[in-house]
Amino acid sequence: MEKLLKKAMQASISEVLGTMFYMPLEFETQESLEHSGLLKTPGMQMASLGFKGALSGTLVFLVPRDLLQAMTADFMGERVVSAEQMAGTLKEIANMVAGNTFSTYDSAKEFCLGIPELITPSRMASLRSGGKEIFLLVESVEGSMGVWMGLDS
Amino acid sequence: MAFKILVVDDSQPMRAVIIKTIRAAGYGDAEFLEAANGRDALAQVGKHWLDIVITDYNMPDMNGMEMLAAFKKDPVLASIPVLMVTTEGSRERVEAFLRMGAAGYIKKPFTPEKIREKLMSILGAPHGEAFEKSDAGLDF
Repeated sequence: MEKLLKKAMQASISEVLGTMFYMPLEFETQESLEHSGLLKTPGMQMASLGFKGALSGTLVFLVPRDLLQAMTADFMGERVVSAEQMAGTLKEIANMVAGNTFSTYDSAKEFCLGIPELITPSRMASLRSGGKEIFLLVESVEGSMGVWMGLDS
Repeated sequence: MAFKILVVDDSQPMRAVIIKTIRAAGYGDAEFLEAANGRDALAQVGKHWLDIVITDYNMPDMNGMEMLAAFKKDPVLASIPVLMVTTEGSRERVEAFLRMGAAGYIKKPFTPEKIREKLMSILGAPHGEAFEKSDAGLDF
């Protein structure tokens, strides 16, 4: 199950960031969140989204602030973007990645997605309560991002 | 007369991208209204006649499905086409959208071509111009 879910996450990230942000990507599938260094990156921005249904848990999209700023500017076709627009873009990415992951994983099963929200490092730490975790390190030309999924036991 | 289009999504960047995409699809003279959720949208439809509503599903306060149900209950609003643009991709959910009377469904992430194709099928060609697809297609 986790292998299939990880494949679905990878396909979904490629589709979302490729279609709407024109970003060619590479994936590091063996990396762990700890060893990726993302949690220690200053200014890391994180959006989480809970899900329920055939599986329940939380998906978190992690991206450094500078990269998010560039992605938001590209997405909106603006040279200058506000913190609010960056937050909206990050939450929308988390939403699209989660929705597409589950429809790729199994379109016959229904999943209910929560409303995405920005989270702090301490909230991220509390989400990692020892359950099953899936992590993908996503490499783009402009920098690294991560997608983490925690599954409720 | 230009089309009047209401775009409903809790993400302001996504609303901006949808509007930009529709303009690029040949509907450049359309007039756009925006709402952040279904409740906000219902407050706007009383004040304006609309040619189409383009809505997300997953929104706080009132989601796209609840908004669609409210439209279909109202004899005046029931005839306004509602196009769902959402990440929700399960077969069951898509069938529910269509069963409830949605005019169509587009999955996020979308291409400009997909938006154009759906709008053409619901609204017809943009007013005053015949759209010709270039080899390069549309750009966001």
